[in-house]
Amino acid sequence: MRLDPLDGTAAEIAEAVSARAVSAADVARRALERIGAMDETVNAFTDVTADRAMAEAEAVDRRIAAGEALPLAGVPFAVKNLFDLRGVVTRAGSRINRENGPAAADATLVERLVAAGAVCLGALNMGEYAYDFTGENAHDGACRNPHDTSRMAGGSSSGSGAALAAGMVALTLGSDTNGSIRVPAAFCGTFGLKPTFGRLSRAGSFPFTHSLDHLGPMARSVRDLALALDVLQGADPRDAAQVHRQPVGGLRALTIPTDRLRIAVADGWFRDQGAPAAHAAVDRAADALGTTRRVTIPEAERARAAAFLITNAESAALHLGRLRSRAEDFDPDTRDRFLAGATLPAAWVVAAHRMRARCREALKAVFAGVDVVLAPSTPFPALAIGQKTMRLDGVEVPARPNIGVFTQPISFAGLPVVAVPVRVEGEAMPLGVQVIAAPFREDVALAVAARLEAAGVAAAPIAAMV
Amino acid sequence: MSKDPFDAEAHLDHMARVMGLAIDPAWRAGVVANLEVAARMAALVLDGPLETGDEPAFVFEADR
Repeated sequence: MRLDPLDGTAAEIAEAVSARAVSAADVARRALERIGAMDETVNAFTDVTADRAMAEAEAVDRRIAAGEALPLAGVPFAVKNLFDLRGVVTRAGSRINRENGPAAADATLVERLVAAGAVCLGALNMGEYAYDFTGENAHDGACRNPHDTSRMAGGSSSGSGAALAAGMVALTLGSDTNGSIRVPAAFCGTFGLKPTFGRLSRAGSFPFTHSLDHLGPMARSVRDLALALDVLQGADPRDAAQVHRQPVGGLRALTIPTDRLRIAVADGWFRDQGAPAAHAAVDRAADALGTTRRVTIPEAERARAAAFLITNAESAALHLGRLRSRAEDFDPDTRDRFLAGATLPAAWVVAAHRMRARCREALKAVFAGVDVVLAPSTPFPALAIGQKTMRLDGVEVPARPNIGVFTQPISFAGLPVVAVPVRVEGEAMPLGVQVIAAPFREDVALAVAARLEAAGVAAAPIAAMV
Repeated sequence: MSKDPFDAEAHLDHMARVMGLAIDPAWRAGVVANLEVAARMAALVLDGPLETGDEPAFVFEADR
């Protein structure tokens, strides 16, 4: 372990706290100090739960002293502010929700992290109501990328990526409806896990689009994602969309041999657009995995279109009352699309849901022939805060709608993805590669991600902020 | 769908009344632009390979 235990991964911190080489209280104090010193610049946190953190850390130290084994002993974590935290208002990136009372109880996934010994430092910035890929927020201010604070953190789980990249915590929770874990993971250079749709409980989180919402962990190592997955799984009757499945082995996945896995790079939609650096990152991963295989994900463009329609209509329907009574209180960047979504014809949306079933069948055929598909997470690295357009293939295009072009078709199909951060020569910022597996095979995606990490291709060092 | 150009302005005027939405003039261009994107997305889906037998992928289990 390095000199400051807070610089360690979640696994390293848990090991040190379990061995009583450092106390959970000391780690929590250091995390609070670092948040205090850095967050004015990064703007990752919207709520710092200092009293809670110290009380939980001291409880962890007592449990360790009593001989209890805690897989996340003393691991400082924080959550996107759409997760309920007892005593904190769940703002979901909005101004409107701040008028609600504080949450009476923690979200299920928060409860599970705390039961495993993790220590909650607070709630994190996000795009309003999760309808965002940038990390900008009119109410709380833009979350800044720790690798270059003039750039976007990516959204909508912006604080979840930035707090990790800045080294303020070792583990975060985010949500991903169209890419909101994988985009900030790419922009901020962290790992992120979007599990299979229905794998993890969403109880106690503020919804965006019920048909597509996923929750998942973000971290600075694959082992940390695996540790978190083991802790976060389990049936929860409070979530109506959770599926009945046996848990998949997270840590066990790290021992799966990967040399016989059939790994392919997605072509077509995932190759024919985007900046060269995005594809260079995928190629670097493919080289390290020794694969030259290519695969086509059918109907990716239509899948993305269908995801767009379902998201637009469902999220607007969720907020219809607020759009009618107080549209002026929405973030201007989300208001236009919510208002548009509230008027979509039903036939468009039902067709989109029917397209989803068709995509599922098409992907079954893809995964009969391969075990893992690699694709870029975003078509370019983090943009400048406020940037509206960019040049792609010599053409000026709107930047924001294109951020999610590679993530949307994958979450639409509900596939599990480990997003891994990859650096490429000549590019100052990190890029992301999606390691995509068949439904409910998070273990396969984790195993391949771990191989990339072991090869030195994927890495999430803390940003050197000056 | 693909034969007739989608008139986002007219659609918005009508549906805003139907849905009880007040569209501030300052927001109108943004809402219309979003509707035009949605219409392009819908054209892609509706002009796609959907067949009568393709069921929607809603989540509902009768015994939960």
